[in-house]
Amino acid sequence: MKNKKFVYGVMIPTLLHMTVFIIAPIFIGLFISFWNYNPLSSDNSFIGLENFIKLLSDADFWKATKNTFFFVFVTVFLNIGLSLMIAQLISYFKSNKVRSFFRMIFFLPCIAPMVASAVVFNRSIFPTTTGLLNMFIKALGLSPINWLGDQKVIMFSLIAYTIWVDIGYNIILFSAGIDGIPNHIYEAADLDNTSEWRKFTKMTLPLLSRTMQFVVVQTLISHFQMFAQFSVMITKDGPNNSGLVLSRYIYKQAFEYKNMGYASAVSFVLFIIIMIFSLIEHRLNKSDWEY
Amino acid sequence: MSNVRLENINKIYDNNVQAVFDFNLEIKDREFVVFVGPSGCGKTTTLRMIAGLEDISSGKLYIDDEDVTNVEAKKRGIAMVFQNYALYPHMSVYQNLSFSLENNKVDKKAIDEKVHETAKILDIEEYLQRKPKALSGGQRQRVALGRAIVRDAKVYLMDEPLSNLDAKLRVQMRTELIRLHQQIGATTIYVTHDQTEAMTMADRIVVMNKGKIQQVGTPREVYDQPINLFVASFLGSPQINLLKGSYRDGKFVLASGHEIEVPKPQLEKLKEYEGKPLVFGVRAEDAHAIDEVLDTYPSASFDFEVDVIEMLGHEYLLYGKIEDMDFVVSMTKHDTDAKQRKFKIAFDLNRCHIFDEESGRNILL
Repeated sequence: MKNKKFVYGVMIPTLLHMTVFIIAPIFIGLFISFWNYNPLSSDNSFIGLENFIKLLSDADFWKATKNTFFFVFVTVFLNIGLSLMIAQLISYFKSNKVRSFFRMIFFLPCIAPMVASAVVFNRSIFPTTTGLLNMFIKALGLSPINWLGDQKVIMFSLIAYTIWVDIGYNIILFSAGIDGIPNHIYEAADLDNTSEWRKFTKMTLPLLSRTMQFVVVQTLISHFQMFAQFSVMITKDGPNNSGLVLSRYIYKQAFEYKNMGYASAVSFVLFIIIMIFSLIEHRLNKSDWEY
Repeated sequence: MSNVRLENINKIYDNNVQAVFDFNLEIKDREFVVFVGPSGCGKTTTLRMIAGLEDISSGKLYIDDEDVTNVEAKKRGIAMVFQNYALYPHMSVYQNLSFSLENNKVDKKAIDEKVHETAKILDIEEYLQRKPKALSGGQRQRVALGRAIVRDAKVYLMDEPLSNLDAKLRVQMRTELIRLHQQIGATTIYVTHDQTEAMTMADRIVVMNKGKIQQVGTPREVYDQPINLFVASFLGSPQINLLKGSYRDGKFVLASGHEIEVPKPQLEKLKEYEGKPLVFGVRAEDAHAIDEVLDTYPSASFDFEVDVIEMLGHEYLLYGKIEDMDFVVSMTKHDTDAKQRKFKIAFDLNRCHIFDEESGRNILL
């Protein structure tokens, strides 16, 4: 009984936090989405599903949804592919110090606040005339690219920045996952005449499935919510809303147009999208083995 | 099948710790050789060097008379059973067995036949679709063995393969391994710290200590003619009785002053050790309470007072003291009434050993 009291005792702060800051906002958000709600107005009326119906014919919403999906899938795919590859390469170093060094290098961008590093990219790497990237391109004799102003390029620039800034986390996670695979399994595989490629595909990848599940869900969720670079790096969501994503659209509706009800409806849609992907991922990746 | 030859092999780790010193051994085709020794004696390191999992610091390793010192593990044609089995946890038993064959591009049908054949030998056919976690320790052990024998390797290495099993299963698997070896006849190197396993399974035993080979020989040889104190005391359960003393005028004088007349053939070898500290070694089964021995070696007879009696079924171990020194005697049921606490016992001097205390060397050999 004493034990139970202790368990509840330590759980209460967390439960309170979750209730106040996570669970309640979801329901309040859902509740608000049924209203024509503007915190500055005295006339807030209940409008039922009208916000959601309006969404269906809102071209900006669809554009933002499309951009978000494009951004999330390309970035997450590249992020996971690259971070896995880099983690695997790092694991080939026998010295712990060398491994830690490389992990640290890749993790450094994660330490800087995203807003700050986004500004740095915006001011020093991507500018059309003075940016570092275009200096290289010009040196190669090619014509400069308007990285953050050309609607065909803008999303790729944002993706490149996001991968740079965020890849460190997953490298650390995959590195830890790879280090966690017992060495004797690779030794056994060695004696079984296994090629390096097959060791990676038949041992490392399946034995990383638990790490992979966590990484995929976490990366998907965080990328659906990415906001800072879209606010800081590009002007007014890019030409023709080419850089508009759902998180920005929610912000605009809520705080620029003061359509809190409508913004809540968009938020709720984003919440459902993220939940669906998390559930799918959870279903797909069930590992029924243990060491 | 193949022979293995180790020539002057040394292992020095990066931190300058030397684990194996000048290891020389020739293992014949189809031989079952056991490396035995206490933890840290270098036996596993040596095995891993043969496997190619550890670099050889200096020396040469030959498999089938081919120098493989610098050949990658995967190209040495070696199969190994790991202490913790090292099964692939995410693969079924079938996949665990078939994996190496797939790597070697054996065709599917042949793989299937080979896997089933192996599973049949090891009696694991019904578990082929299970994952390792759904198997008991003994079953996992068999899968680990199966993964080795499915391959037709040149040499089989086993690193304490039975140490994770419970006592009963260990004895059972021991017999099965011997049977399997007789059936397959593969060159096998087996590492263990358990002297019983070494004694029961080996064609030849390699006794190791502190990175050096102490003695190589058949179980009978190393047991009956231990080359030094270490081998004598490492092999045999209960441990050999060791009594300190010295040699004087044809007699071995124990610390208590008791004099044992040394049999004639041994006198010559003892001469040069006159006055030096020596150790007299008697195995528990070489001390008898029967009249025959008492009559033959009257000077080696002692009053034995028993403190503790262990009844092992087929024998009794009697722990006590002679001349105020700890001593253990093993007796079969017929020898004595175990309730009796005081005996007259005598050593079979033909089977005793005398060691130089300083070097540990067996002087009588």
